[in-house]
Amino acid sequence: MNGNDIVDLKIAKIPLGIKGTRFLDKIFSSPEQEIIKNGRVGVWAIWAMKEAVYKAHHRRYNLPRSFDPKKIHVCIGDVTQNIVFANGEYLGYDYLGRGVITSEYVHFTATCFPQTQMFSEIFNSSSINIKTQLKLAISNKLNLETEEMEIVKNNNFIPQIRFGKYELNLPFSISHHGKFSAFSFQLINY
Amino acid sequence: MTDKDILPKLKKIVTPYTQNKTALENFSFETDFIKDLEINSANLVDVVLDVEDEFNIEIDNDSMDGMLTVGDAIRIIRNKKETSERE
Repeated sequence: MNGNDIVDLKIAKIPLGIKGTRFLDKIFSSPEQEIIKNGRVGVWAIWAMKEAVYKAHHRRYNLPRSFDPKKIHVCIGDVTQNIVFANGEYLGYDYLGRGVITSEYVHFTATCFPQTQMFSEIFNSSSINIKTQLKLAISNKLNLETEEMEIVKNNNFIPQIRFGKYELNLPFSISHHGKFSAFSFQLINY
Repeated sequence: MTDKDILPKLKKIVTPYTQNKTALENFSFETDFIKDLEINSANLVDVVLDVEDEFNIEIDNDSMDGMLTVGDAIRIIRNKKETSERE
């Protein structure tokens, strides 16, 4: 299972002053706020990792939506240039994350199957349809016809890929924020 | 404070974060913050903070977890207000 999250740094904003402190307290634990204070990575890297883990886990167990970012605990591992490795724990389940930080965006993928290759792409989204791009990428890897592929959400709002009358259980995740769109997938369960 | 009092205040709070402005026209108890209004999840925290300020209440993370629709938010606001008025 995997999840991904992209953050457009031009529009992501933390409120100023005391409201900013309240904002951080609702999202990040004390250890996470320490990581941010020490400047290892910024707010949005840890946020993106939490979102990626949330998406991976909720998809994995087909869980209904929830919103408590503090239930996901993130530790930052190796940070080399603009690549970040992280661990996320959510309700006792562990995920491994990898992030890219640029001046324009932060993008994280997280998975419970780190030994399986993760495919992901980021787009400057104004002119592209991310679902089409995802279908193209998957069909290229699996030699399937894109026209027969459909992405629909189940009743927990989790997107699934239908191929003809079959549901591909291949794990994937889509993310949009501001001018960026991104997807991730792994070739498992197909 | 009735639900009818809370609804317009809530609408005012969510408007700046709403990406699907058309959905605001049908703003009701069933309106879903993420699915209908397309509020980004980071902005949900902003909404919670603005609700806390507007209604002078504190919304703990467990309550925030259940705040997916307008109806959920109104229920939580009334609940928190009643608790704080009793103290």
